[in-house]
Amino acid sequence: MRLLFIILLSLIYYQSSISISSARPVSYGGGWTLMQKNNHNKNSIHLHYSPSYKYSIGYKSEYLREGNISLNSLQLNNLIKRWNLPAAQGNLYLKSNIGNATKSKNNEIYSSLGLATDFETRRYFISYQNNYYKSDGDVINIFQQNIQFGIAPYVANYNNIHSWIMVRIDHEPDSDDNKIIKTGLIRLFKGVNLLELGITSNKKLLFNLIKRF
Amino acid sequence: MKKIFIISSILVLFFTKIAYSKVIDVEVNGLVCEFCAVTIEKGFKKEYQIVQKVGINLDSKKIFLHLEEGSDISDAKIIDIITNNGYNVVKINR
Repeated sequence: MRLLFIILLSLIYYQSSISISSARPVSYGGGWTLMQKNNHNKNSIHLHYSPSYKYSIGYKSEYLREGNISLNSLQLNNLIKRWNLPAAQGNLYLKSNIGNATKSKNNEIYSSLGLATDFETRRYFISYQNNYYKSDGDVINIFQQNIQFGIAPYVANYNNIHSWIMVRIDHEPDSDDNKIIKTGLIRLFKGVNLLELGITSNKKLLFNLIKRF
Repeated sequence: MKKIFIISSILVLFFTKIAYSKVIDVEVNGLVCEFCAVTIEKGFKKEYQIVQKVGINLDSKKIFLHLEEGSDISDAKIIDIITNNGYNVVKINR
């Protein structure tokens, strides 16, 4: 418990000593983003460059523990539509990948396609995303989706630490053991850096870190 | 003599730092998050010869452009920068 408290304090200090962002797959024009995500089933690292706020292109590496599958791909993210409202913003993105899928000694070409949408005010947040992965053989053929809700315990102004308490539900219909996973998490962000830390319903750690340059 | 020199140096530095001639405030739609603010701030960095400082208030959904003394920036340019960074201008107050 004490160790958890120290880790949490260290993370808060880390977040306040640098700066943070939002989890969107496209950055500002000319911006680079490094996304490192870990959850109950997946570890991934994604580096992308955004020529404009409308799209980004980058390299993504993923490891799926269930099935022991490694994916390496080129990912293109497109902002299809943004809704700018006086006190809210909504976005709809298309994410597409093409690359190599490896399981045991099988190497196959794979592609994936997904939609991501979010809507947020300064107090409330909701996002939904899905992904369908398919290789040209039988290495991978899965569908995944998740929904995330959040509430900010306080409304922070610019250059302050923004905190969110969130619930995430992952639905993986092709999984043998974990078809639905619920995760409680906290999101902290300030400036161009974001941190998410949570615990899943099957007692695994969620740890996401995003940094924009 | 030494004291006068120190005080006058501090005054010169102080007034150099705050010598913005004009502040334009702009109401923006979609300005709801920290990252939105970062994006807009970075958008105006390219205009550093005109815009000395960008202040952002998420509560009022406004950005404040502090201009270099004697310089100006057109409404069209402000709208262009904000729109090209993914946000909408509601009103420009000069």
